[in-house]
Amino acid sequence: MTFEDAMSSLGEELGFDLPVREGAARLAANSADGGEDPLTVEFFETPDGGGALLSCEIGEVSTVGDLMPLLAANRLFADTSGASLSVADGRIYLEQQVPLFVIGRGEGAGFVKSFVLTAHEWRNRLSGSGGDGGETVDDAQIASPGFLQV
Amino acid sequence: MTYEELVKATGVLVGIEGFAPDEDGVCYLVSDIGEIAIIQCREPVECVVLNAPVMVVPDGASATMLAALEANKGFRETKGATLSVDTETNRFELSQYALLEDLSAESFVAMIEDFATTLVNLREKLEAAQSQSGGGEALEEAVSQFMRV
Repeated sequence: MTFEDAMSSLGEELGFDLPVREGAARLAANSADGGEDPLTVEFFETPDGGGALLSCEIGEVSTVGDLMPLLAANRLFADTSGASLSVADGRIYLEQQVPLFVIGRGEGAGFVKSFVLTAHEWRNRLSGSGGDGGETVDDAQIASPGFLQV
Repeated sequence: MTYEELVKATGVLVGIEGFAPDEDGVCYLVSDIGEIAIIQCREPVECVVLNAPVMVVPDGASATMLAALEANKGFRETKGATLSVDTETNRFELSQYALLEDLSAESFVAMIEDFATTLVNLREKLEAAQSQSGGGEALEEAVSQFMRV
């Protein structure tokens, strides 16, 4: 399965076209509570061609004190639900790789949903609106994010 | 293939007789680059995690921490793994996971070899970042530049 085929399959699951433009497919994801500030999730092909890389900007580095909590959260993926926190040009990203065969067998939407919920949780945590950050993805899955075509 | 079968078959390929996880699903490979833990993960899906210490987090490690987070971006420098910090041991760690169903003993050995190579490369990178950081002032300047973008 090619990356383009996988994005087409994922688009079918989500109910709208997910075209690959300039090497990336994109969608917007409303917050779980229906808020108005959607996250943009980008999908890139992994270098080995066997997976999709989900990437979402969730905040900015404002002080050096922001760095250690991100690295600590990455430990054994325990606080990121399998994703990875990273930084580029002062912006903070949540990223995760998904094998194309997982998307191809119809499990992509569930994977993306879990990723988006984690991204929302982390964006709220970084912006200071997430309380103690104790909400887990399982808790958040009670609500469902809405996906929108970009 | 179960996790235990994968570990056993991996041991055969790398020449370790009777290689098996402990009761917690963990086993270790030790070489001159250090220790790599192989960890069973069952939730939310069956995965195998590789985890290894990279280096101690040095005093005034802000530049090193930034370098680690930048290496994580797009998994490009980490080759699919992720750098983190264990705050209990105060060590940078490198971790990578794969779906159990996606692994054979041969592909798992290849994954371990790639992981070990990446571990060595990142250890050098982080040590270089620390030695070149020039203390906290350089990083504070870098962060302030971020904020001006």
